[in-house]
Amino acid sequence: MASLIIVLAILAIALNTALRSEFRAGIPSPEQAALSFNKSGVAAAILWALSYTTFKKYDIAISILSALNETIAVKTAEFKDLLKKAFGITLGVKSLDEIYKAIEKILVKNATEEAKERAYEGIQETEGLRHNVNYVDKRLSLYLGENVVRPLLSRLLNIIENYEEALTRVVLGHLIRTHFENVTVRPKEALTGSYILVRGYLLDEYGNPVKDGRIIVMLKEHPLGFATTDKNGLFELHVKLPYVYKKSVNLTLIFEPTLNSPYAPCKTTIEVKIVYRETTMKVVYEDDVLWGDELVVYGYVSGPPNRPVVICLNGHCVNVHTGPNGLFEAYLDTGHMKPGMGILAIKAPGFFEYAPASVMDKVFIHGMRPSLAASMPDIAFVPGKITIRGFVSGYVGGGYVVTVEIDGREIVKERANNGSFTLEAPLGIDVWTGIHEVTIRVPPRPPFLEATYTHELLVINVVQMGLGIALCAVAFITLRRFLTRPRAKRASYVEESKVAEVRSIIEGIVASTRGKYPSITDELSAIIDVLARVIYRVQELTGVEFKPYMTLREYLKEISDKLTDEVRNTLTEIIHTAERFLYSPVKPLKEDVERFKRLAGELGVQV
Amino acid sequence: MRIFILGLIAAILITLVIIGLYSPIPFDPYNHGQYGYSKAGRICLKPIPDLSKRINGTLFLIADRKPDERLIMVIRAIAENGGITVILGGRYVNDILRLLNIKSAVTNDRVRDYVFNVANADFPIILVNLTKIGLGKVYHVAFARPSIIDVKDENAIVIGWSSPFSISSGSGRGPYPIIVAFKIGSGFLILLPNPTPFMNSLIDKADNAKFLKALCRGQGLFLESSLRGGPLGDLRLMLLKAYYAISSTWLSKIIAVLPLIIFSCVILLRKSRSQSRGQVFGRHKAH
Repeated sequence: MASLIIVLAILAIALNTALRSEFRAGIPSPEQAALSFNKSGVAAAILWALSYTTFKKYDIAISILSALNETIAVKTAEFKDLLKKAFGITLGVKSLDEIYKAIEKILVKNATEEAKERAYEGIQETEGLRHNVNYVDKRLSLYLGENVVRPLLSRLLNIIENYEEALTRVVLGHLIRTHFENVTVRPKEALTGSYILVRGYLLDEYGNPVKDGRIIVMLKEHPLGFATTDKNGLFELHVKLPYVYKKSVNLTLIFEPTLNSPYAPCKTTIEVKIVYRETTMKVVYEDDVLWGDELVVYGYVSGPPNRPVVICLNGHCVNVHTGPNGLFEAYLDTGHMKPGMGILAIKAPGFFEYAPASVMDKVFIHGMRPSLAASMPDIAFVPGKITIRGFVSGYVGGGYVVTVEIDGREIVKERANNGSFTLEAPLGIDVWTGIHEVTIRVPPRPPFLEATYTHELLVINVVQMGLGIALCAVAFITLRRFLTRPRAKRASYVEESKVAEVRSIIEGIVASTRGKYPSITDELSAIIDVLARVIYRVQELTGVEFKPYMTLREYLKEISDKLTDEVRNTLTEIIHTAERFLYSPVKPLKEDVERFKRLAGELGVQV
Repeated sequence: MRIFILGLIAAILITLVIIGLYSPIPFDPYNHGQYGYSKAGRICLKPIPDLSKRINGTLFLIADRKPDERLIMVIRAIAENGGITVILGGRYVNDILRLLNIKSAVTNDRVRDYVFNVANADFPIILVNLTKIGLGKVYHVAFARPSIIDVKDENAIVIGWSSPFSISSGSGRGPYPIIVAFKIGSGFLILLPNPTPFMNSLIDKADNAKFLKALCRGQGLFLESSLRGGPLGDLRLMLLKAYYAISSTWLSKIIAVLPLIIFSCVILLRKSRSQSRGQVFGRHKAH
């Protein structure tokens, strides 16, 4: 058994080696690859990432550095350190940026102490960042040259220093608070989508005007425009309102000082009333349509002509425009849709000053259920085929496709041209014996829904059954023959096999002694056979086994105290006689063999 | 009898070895070697022998066999239902694309990268952005000798680019499109130039395992019948199909108790032998 497993393993390994060598061509494996990378290229990639940091595109920088972190370059201590520092710079500058933005928001709320705490946190980071930039500068210069590296890293240092200065001002409380005053909007009630004038003053906490302050006007998250204050702190800005259809909107004005500015940020909001026109929409359609037919939608939308209208049914949309009198009509082909309940959505988007309008309703797309009837045998033999005859109502003209599936697996697909069809479905030997579900399917085609017919088929796989029966029969016969073999026969069979074992041991001893196995003659072979039987008999009597490493004399010595004198003497004579022929060039004659057999007979051995 | 039982055990062992215990076929989920997909199998790839059953989950295939009409139909059906099929390159990848009316193709231009690589220039790292198709995040995926995809379709979304430091066997410098998603119906066909990112020796590098998980979306089905494995592979596939077929019939019950039957036979045999031995000793004692 063990040898069988070893043979199988060797076979599998051999096959594996053969097949792998066939497929390995063209596919390198990283496990066997020689490691190499371009050092100056990696340095350039780090510099590339840091350039994104200077433009505040931190995500891209982090992505590049993360990719480098997966490369083979990072396995070297030199680049591992460099990459770590580059990561530190990017994350540090990002953190300073976030701290500064957070402080701006805090200052708008006048929470000065909290702002100071955050600013102090930021300042603590800058020292380490400057150190990292200098380190990266030196190391990258080795690969790329100072003239390439220095300009970019100087910019990074400037950015860090600017943040440091700005945060220091916050910590020292040097920022002058600001506020908006007399902010007005003209006109107060504005038509949606029109221009408005936003005007006001930006003053500091002492009432002095803030010059060159940058003001942003926002509507929710969207900036509408920018303005700069003059020497009186006055700002005026014409902004175009987006097309919004609400009664009013709140505009937010934000003052965002630059990093070097001594002013704190501030913001205010102002309400603008919006004027727009309501839209009237009227639509007519059928709420039940036959699958495959067109759904016709007629309607009216108020407002100017050529107004766009979108009509969607189950996600399939049609775009139309209104005519001169505001009327529109649309046709939706239901043939591409699934039958059943559908959602009809008609929408006229906002059109200049006209507000949007929409209608939503359910439309039922009904399909016709065809009837499918089929006849087929209840039992089928494999390999073979079954004939299926069927009739399907409704499918006339243009033909249709019939598929036959067995346990969900398609076995036949054929086109039929009229209501009745006849198919021959082959059943391969991979269809096993048992009850299988045969499904005949006619796919849906507007206006008809899918038709299916299911039938249980008992399959008898002749090949499979035959093989199974044959296998069982062989097993049964073999077992029966063995169990019903006459006991004596079985006994002699066992005895013979044991004797053969002993004989092989003796032959092994003889071969090792003489060195040449072929010198065993027929007579010597007969003597070995008799000797083997004698030893087997002695084994039976004494219970002491003759081991392969024993000489005959050693065995005799081991068992001598377990034998009677008579048996011991006979056995000694047998062994001495055998030794003369086994361990010397003397060849036994036929007479010697006869004598030997006689001695063995005295011990009760049948030869 | 002994020979019969040994033969039966040997047959079962050989079948087991061929089916599952040891597969030498590259990119096979049953292959535990460096080119195998066993680790991918443990992550989320479940091997299926053919397309006979309904596909629930992302379908992965290597186009190493000539595509038939059914395969194209299944890929279309999966995509129409909002599913995803991932084609991991293969000899017939461009045939599949042509049958799906996709003009883009996998070229023979190999990409090398001396900077962004996991071992040497043959193993470039590709930046994959799955957010473009709403599947996940941005991943860094290591390939072995990827080819450039020639993108010619309007519905194609390049989701994987090589780095700007990459070079090709053709000409010029990167970035090159390496992974492309094609919108079909409400689903996607995702095309990789070769199956190397998920082989055992590469799946632990970079974000390859995470990328596979994101593509699987829970359960990935690996189409065994698309693999090219030579005669042994064909035999394996045949046995696998038979195994799956048997699993769905009453024969599976017999197979389940087969070890018990064999074990009983062995016990029976040993018992009858020991009885026989007792007879022999008795006869000799009588002498």
